[in-house]
Amino acid sequence: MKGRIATLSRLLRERKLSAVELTESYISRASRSNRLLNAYVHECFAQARLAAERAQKLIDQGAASPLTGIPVAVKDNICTRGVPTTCCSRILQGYVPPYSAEAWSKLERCGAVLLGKTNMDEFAMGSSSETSCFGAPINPLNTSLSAGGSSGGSAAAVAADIAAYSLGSDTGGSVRQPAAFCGIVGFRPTYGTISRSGLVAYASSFDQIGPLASSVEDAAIVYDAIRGRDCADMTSVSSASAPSLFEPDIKSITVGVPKEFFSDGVEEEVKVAVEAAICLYERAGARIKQVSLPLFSKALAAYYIISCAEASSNLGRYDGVRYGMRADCDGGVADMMAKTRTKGFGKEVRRRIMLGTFVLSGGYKGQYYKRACGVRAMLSAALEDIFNGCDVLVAPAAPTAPFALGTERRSAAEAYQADICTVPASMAGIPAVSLPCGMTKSGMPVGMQVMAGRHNDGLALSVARYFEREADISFRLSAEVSREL
Amino acid sequence: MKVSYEQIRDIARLARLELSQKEVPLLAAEFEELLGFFDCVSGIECGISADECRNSVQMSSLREDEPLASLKEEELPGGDRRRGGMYRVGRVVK
Repeated sequence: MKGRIATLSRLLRERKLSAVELTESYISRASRSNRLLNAYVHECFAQARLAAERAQKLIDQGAASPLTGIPVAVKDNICTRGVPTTCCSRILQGYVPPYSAEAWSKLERCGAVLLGKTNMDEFAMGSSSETSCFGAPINPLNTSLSAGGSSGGSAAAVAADIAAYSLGSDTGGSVRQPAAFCGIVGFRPTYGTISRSGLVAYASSFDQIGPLASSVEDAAIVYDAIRGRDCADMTSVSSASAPSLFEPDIKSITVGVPKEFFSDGVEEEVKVAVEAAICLYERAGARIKQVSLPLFSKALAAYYIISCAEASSNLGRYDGVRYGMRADCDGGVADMMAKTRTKGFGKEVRRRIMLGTFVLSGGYKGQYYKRACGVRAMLSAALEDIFNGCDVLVAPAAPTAPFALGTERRSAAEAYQADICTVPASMAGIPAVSLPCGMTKSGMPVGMQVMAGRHNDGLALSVARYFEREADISFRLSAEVSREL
Repeated sequence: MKVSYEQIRDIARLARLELSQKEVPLLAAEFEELLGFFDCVSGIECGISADECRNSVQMSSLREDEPLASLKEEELPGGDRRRGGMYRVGRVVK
């Protein structure tokens, strides 16, 4: 069902459904299907029932917001007071944060009902959620396919409707790519508009919390509820107070089509679906303009250099002393720390920490890190120039349709190519909405991105909603998942 | 770029990670491939610092420093035990 939040909220306000009944219905669906989906890694159904009772009181008092009483799932790297937050890593096993992330606190104050924490790639490092210490979630549309990553569990939960919406985090595309794989909407807002306070850091200059939802309207409702300046996050910025969505005059919109996003590495079926979406805008009267972003080819490498460098610093805090697990060790403190980190981190996380340590080490910092920062600055400037002549950019959200779980890749560098379409918006800190724009011959979703200039989040969302309404695309859950629900 | 086994061991030590003998050659080969992939940024000469980069993408919104009135000495715990520009505190080492 599209527009889930508005519909459920109306039913709650009209007393056709109580918050407790709604929560019980979601708990029942999640309990039946999660063994198959593996979307939730920590369920908190007892707390959810209490939260639903509190939400019902708010509704009865006429103090409800659109999110009051609506069940939500939150990615396992967003701190939730009293509920485990492990980043799907052995090193944080058993960690229960004593405080909540600002984004979750805002939802909690609205009366949102937390059902549980969702599966993800360990510390958000991956594009298929397969690096999770809990095993990968599956794609509810086809159980042999990946739900994407790193917010794979958040996307799977929304696609299977075992959460009305969810929160994910997007560093290099981790909200947008899983949304594209599961046929739902994912939104990465302008960097800084949602507080990162309480989001476990991977690469701080890219990390951004974002909503995953069944429709653009739902994503905008959640975004409007959690955005805003927060003094606990020094990179947080203010955003306009007006609601994000508006009716765009499509005839006055210029849609930029960056040709590099349609290069050889992008599957033909993906290109065809996104080009058809661009034709829809053209038929509606939008001006279509071919643009070029020559630095596209260097963006991915620059992103991995900077993000690994930041990860090597951010993950230095996991040493067996302050958080989570501690390895048994007869040696000294240094030995204990090395053993804890080696045992606690998975292979991909260890690889990225080492790569980051390497590119920041003496003799190589100038060769890699500083140059990557240069690429980032130039790419941001190039995108700013492009947005002087275009209102939005439309491009694929991922180079491929959902791939099979367990796909063998020749190398790490090849696996990193999954982020090629999403990384440019992350590098420049601009808003980007991922939404389904078509399907492959086998009926699997193809996602496109609508990107806009910094702080034009409302424009990106509104232009995306225009397409969503006109195209009206929906997907069927796999028979196996449907049977469980 | 050629990466030696010694470099891999050094990086692991800096990153506070342990490596088995078997992992060292595998990681060296992986690093060579990934650094080859990273080398595409090597042609970039824009003379920009990391701080300038951060500012250029407007990621920092640090406020200006605002000096505020601080606590008066007599309000500090133990302020009444000031002797000759020092504070008398409880014995720590016995």
